[in-house]
Order: sequence, then structure tokens, then C-alpha cells
Amino acid sequence: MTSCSRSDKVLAYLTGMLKPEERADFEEHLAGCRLCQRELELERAISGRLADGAEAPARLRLQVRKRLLLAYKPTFPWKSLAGIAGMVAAVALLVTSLARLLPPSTDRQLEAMLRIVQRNFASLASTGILGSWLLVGIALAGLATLIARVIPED
Amino acid sequence: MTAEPAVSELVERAKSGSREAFGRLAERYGDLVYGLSLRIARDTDMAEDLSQETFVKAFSKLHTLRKPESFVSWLCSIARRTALDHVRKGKRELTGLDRTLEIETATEDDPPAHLTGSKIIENALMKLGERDRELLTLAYYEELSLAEVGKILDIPEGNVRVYLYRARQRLRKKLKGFEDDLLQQIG
Ligand SMILES: [Zn+2]
Repeated sequence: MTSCSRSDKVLAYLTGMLKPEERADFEEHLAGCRLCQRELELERAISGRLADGAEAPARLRLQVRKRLLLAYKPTFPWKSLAGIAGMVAAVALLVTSLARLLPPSTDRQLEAMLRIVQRNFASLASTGILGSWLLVGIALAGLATLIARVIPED
Repeated sequence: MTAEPAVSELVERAKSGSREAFGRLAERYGDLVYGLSLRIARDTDMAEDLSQETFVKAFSKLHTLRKPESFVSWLCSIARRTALDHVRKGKRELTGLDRTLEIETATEDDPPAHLTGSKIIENALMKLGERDRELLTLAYYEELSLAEVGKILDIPEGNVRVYLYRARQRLRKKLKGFEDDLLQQIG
């Protein structure tokens, strides 16, 4: 015998399509039928293969990351960062312009430090993001210089 | 080993802009999205492109996802829409030409002995209708309930099981002649 007339019930049994009494009845048949047992084993193997699913190429993850970087501007809080950077720039400019007013005898280390601040500021400004803050910074610094000039030196 | 963060936690982090968190989600669901895309588009290269497209879309729309716990089914809906749109567009362009099957097809006269179990299944799936292919892909994904699968595929919840049963019947027919290969490769 190569087929059983009831083996078409195997899939219904496996997918929960049988009513309780049909189910019990079929289980009884299944216990004694090698062909239906084999069919059940096969259908279970198919279920297992389906559950394995397809496997995406390993490069997909990297491609997704790349696409996200290209497609979206970062959601990083640039505005507040620009605000902070602007304030830092204003302070830096203020300090450097004050430094220019200081007598040449001023500590060399301080001067070197100020130069570094100036350089960093220049590179920040060159990114263009800080354009508006740069103007504010310059204005503030200019004002500070003016005030510094007005205040008589000790 | 540190435990993998929960999906909903990753979703929340991704929602607040973390691409690192979203990258992990893409890694976790890459196979699922790719599998669904492949089974709709039936082309491996295209499935790769469509998967990328799906994740990029998902990231941009993440703020519209209200319940982080339904991320998986939400993602599947996007993947499905993306792939279906592509297929429909492609059909118009190619006027019925079925651009398929980098996956080799085996016929009854072609001895299938060299095919692996997953390839046999893949080939058989590709011969089924679109709805069956989608259903058989999603219903066996362990993180999705049949109710969720029904929602993704617009099948009434009460009918999902019957649809699945019929899809399995059709799949079984396409697997005639491969029984021994499939049985040999288990266990
Ligand atoms: Zn039997």
C-alpha cells in the first residue's frame, strides 16, 4: 500500500482544523497507520522549513545603516548645540579681544591657550552652521572691546 | 553576554532618534523583511533593495507608530506595501513578463537530489499565488500571532486559519516528488 485515503486529513489535523471528535478519531487512526505518520512527519518538516524563513544577505544591515545616514539629517539637537557653541564663541572672542588689550608682559601660556581657542573657533565657524551665532559673537565681542577701551586701565 | 534589549525599548530609543537602536531592529528583523520582500517580488536583488527601502521608510515614519509592541506587524505592513507597489509597477512596465527566479526551478524530470530542503520549499513557494506566499511567510514567524497576520494581510481574523490550511494544501501539491528529500533532511 502506498497511500492512505485518510492522509489528506493530516494537514487539517496539524493546522487545527478538525473538530474535537474528528480529531480524536483521526488520532486513533494515526496511531496505527504508518503512511499517515509519515505524512505528518513530512508536514511538520515543511512547517519547520517555513519557520526557518529566508536569510537576508549579511550586507543588508550595513546597507540600511548607510541609507539612513544618507537619507536623514541627524536628529541631534543642532539648535541647542549651536546656541551653546555661539555662546562659547562669543566668550572666546571677548576673551581674545580683551587679550589684545593686555600688555605684552602677559603670561605666554595664556596667550597660547587663547590662540588655540581662536583656531578652534575659526574651524567651528567654517562649518557654516554657526553663521548667525558668529555675528552675535562678533557683535558682543565688539561691544566688549568698546567697553574695555572706555574703562580706564589701572 | 549582555541581554538583548527588548524590542519596545529599542523602538522607543529609535523613536527619539537613535539610529543605533534602529540599526539593531533592522538587524533583528532583517531576515523577516527580506523574506517577505523576496516572496512578494520573487527576485533576490530586488528583495534586497526593497528591504532597504522598507527600513528607511520605517525609520522616517516611526513617530506615527503608537504602540511599540506592534512594531513587527507595523514593519511587515510597510515591507508588504513597498514590495507590492514595486511588483504592480513592474507588471505595468514589463507587461506580464514574470521576472523571476534566480532561484533555480526543479521539475519532475530534473532529479532534485542536489537541492537542500530550504531550496525545495523556496521553489515550491514561488509557484504559489501571491497571497499564499505572503501568508506562509508571516504565519510561521514566531513573533506574529495569526490575528496580527490577518491584520497585515487584510484577512478577517476568523478566516486566517482556513486560508493557511488551504495555502498549505497547495504548497503540499507543489512538493510532490520531493517527499524523500524533505524527510531525509530533518533531524
Ligand atoms: Zn492513514
